[in-house]
Amino acid sequence: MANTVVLEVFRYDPDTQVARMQDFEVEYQDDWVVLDALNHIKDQIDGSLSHRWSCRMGVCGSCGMVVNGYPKLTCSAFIRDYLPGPIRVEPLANFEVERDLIVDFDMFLEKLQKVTPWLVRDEERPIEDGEHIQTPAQLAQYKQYTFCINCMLCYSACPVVSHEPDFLGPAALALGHRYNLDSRDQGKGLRLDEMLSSDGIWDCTFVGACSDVCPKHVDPAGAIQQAKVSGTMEYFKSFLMPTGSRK
Amino acid sequence: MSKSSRQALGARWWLMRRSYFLVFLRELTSIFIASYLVILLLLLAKVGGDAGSYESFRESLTFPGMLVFGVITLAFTLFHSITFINLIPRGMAIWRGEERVHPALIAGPGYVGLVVVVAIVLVAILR
Amino acid sequence: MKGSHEAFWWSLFSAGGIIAAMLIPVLVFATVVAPGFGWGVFVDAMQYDRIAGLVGHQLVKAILFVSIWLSFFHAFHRIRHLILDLHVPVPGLPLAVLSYLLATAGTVSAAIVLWRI
Repeated sequence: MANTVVLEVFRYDPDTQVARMQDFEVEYQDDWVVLDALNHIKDQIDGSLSHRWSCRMGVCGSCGMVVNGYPKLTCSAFIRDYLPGPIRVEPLANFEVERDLIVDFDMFLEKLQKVTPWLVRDEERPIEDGEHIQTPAQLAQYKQYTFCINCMLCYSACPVVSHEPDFLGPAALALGHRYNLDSRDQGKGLRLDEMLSSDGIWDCTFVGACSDVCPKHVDPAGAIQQAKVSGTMEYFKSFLMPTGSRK
Repeated sequence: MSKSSRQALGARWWLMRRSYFLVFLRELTSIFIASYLVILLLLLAKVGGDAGSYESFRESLTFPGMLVFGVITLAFTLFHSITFINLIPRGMAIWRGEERVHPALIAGPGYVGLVVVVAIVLVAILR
Repeated sequence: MKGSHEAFWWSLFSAGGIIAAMLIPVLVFATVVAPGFGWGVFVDAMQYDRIAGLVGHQLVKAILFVSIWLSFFHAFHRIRHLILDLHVPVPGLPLAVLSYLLATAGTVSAAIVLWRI
């Protein structure tokens, strides 16, 4: 008697704009993850099922979906943890759905761009001068925030993203914070204009769900709170030293 | 390609998971804090008046309804204290070389502060 | 800065949060819960003369004023965001104005009340 589990999968057809749930009974192996089941459905049962995936080992950030109401990387969600089922698989919340389990993440990419997520220099360091020197202690300051794989589980978990569509959101703000903390960077002023705006860190109410669901332990909620503290100090400084430039 | 059906988390997000509900309760503590501040202000206002009107107000504070409110308010305001102190370290990244100071080393003094303040207030009121 | 003064309200919120965390529970206990349960020492402590004597000190008044001021701003900042997070369809700016106006009203009341003691 083979092991089977039922997957309740969200289906959406953009041509008819019909959304529905479809049940699939899937024979699974003990070490399978939800992504294995989805691939099996597409291969063997219903080839029209559309979903994103790539590395299947939790580093590419492609396979994020909502599993039994909780944002997960489906390559890291083991079937055995959801038994006896059924397992409900839905697209990431708070994003427009393109088809089935595929979301349109332009929203995230636009927000990410706003925080200038790259090293900004007043003047580029010439090649002959060699690399930027950075101590291990300086690296440690921002290292945690470099682990973001842009999987967008945090956006799916955040209630503020749900009701404030313009809120920059956890990952973008954590990445902005990552560059602000990088000793090689000189672009803080640029970033803070966006991060300290009314669509930035101040919309966050520290629910903390983003950090709970983050598969890489980036702790975007912590990054945002730290940005609030430093942003507040910047704010008061700007009154005391109005002509000082923000570096 | 036409797109639709944005699956928003929805207005009832705070009912969906235990962790969300605890956040909702945490936010709710603000209502109890504000309510108690009003009662405190009324009490202080009576202190500025005559002893008679103070006494009848003080007595009304001991009515069963007020006691129930008091116990619930005490629970919620304590919940605020605990959650607030526990969250302070998340906003403070303090570094010793390449290691980040453990959150407990920041929250710990917070709790010590709480105990000290409670002690000072109790001594001031009871002596 | 793109004209956001949220940092100002947030600073009041955090300062008030710390003060409220330290002070409010013991005040609730001493003024309502303990006397309500008939706990003798607390019932006695709430007598007019004793409370008036305690609050009459300028230092106590100052501490009470600062604590009530910041706690009100903490509470109303959080209430404001709670209303937003519950998706109550209220426009953002009027909600913010009302919230901080109410906090200011509480603060001014505290000043008046303490002045009269």
